[in-house]
Amino acid sequence: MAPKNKNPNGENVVPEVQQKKTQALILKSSDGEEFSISKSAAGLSVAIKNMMEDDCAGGVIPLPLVDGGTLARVITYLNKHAEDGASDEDKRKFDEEFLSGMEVDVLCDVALAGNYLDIRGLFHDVCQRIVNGMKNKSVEWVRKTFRIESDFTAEEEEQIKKEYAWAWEGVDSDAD
Amino acid sequence: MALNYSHRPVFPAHISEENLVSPVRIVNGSSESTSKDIVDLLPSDPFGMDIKTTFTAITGWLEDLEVDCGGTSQLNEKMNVGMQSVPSNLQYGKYIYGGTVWGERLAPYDIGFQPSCNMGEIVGFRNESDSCDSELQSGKKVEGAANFEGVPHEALAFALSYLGVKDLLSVERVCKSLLSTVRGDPLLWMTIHIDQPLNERITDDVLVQLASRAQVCVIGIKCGYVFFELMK
Repeated sequence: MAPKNKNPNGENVVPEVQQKKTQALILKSSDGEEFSISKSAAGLSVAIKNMMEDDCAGGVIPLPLVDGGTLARVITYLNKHAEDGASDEDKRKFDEEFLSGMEVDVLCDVALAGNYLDIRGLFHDVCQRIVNGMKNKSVEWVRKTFRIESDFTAEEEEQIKKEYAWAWEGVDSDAD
Repeated sequence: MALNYSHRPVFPAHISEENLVSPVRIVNGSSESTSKDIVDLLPSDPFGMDIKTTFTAITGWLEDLEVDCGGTSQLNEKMNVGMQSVPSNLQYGKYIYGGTVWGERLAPYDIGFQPSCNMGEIVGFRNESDSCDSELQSGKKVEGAANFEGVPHEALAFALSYLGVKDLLSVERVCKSLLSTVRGDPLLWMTIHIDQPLNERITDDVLVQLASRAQVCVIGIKCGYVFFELMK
């Protein structure tokens, strides 16, 4: 299972070896949690890398759009992907496990963070994951899964449905 | 369907009305750095290239396209002639019917093709990373679009670019904010990928309708190609 990089007190936990090996950066989440991360791992995020290159990354980098729980997950991902000696196969397996344990809400948060921090691989995988479940599902299923309330009137709904009626043949019924 | 070059920073503010009437200057933007006085001193066609005639011909050619909206028989012939001079906002996408139907948006000037009727040939697959890239670039806009009260997670707007046509049409029925996100984001419709069951049911009319969600003006469909012009 994925290594924990946050202890119950919300403090950062970075493997000691890694700390010695590369200099660390501090990332600060929207709710004030601080995480230390090696520069090599942080550099996988294009946004952070740019900040480091522009030298605006002295000390703590505040990430006001990412909450602690999400940031912890993102850092777990970055650490794995920056790990020396982790083969592509390892990483793929890790990604699979890493993502399969997430609820759709969590996936959504991680997708946003991946976009914000510009971690393309993560963003791509998470979006793909969110969408995979949606294929060929009914409108009602999407509403239920993503907890969205319909704000259409019955007439409006009927009208949109009619517009593309040809597309709905064979879609899973709402019960699925 | 008038050509609109407003998105191209071609005209400096000081260019006077009379300079704007020449199609030559409009199309190639040659007047960009010349002041009016110098323009007057220059011979109109120093290298004898007959540029004006060429562009006038193209303008007429584009007017023909307007008239020839439905049938594209002449279009194909014209497409093969002088493509290098076509303004960058005239493009085409390709939709191939058969086992897999897919669309492709080509970069401006990536032309010189031979429209062929290779129906049924599976040419390729949707390039997911492309749609991902464009989505990243437009991150701000997409976030804004999904910023409605108490509803779909913002990330859903990003994930939409990973959905196919059928699921997009499904998602737009979920609620009003998703409806406006799906219909209002041209990037989602730049690549139209239509899978097995749908390609038997979809009609050219619907394809035109869907393609125009990419904010393009569809000129016509012929042999699996959709000809369109960007509307920006």
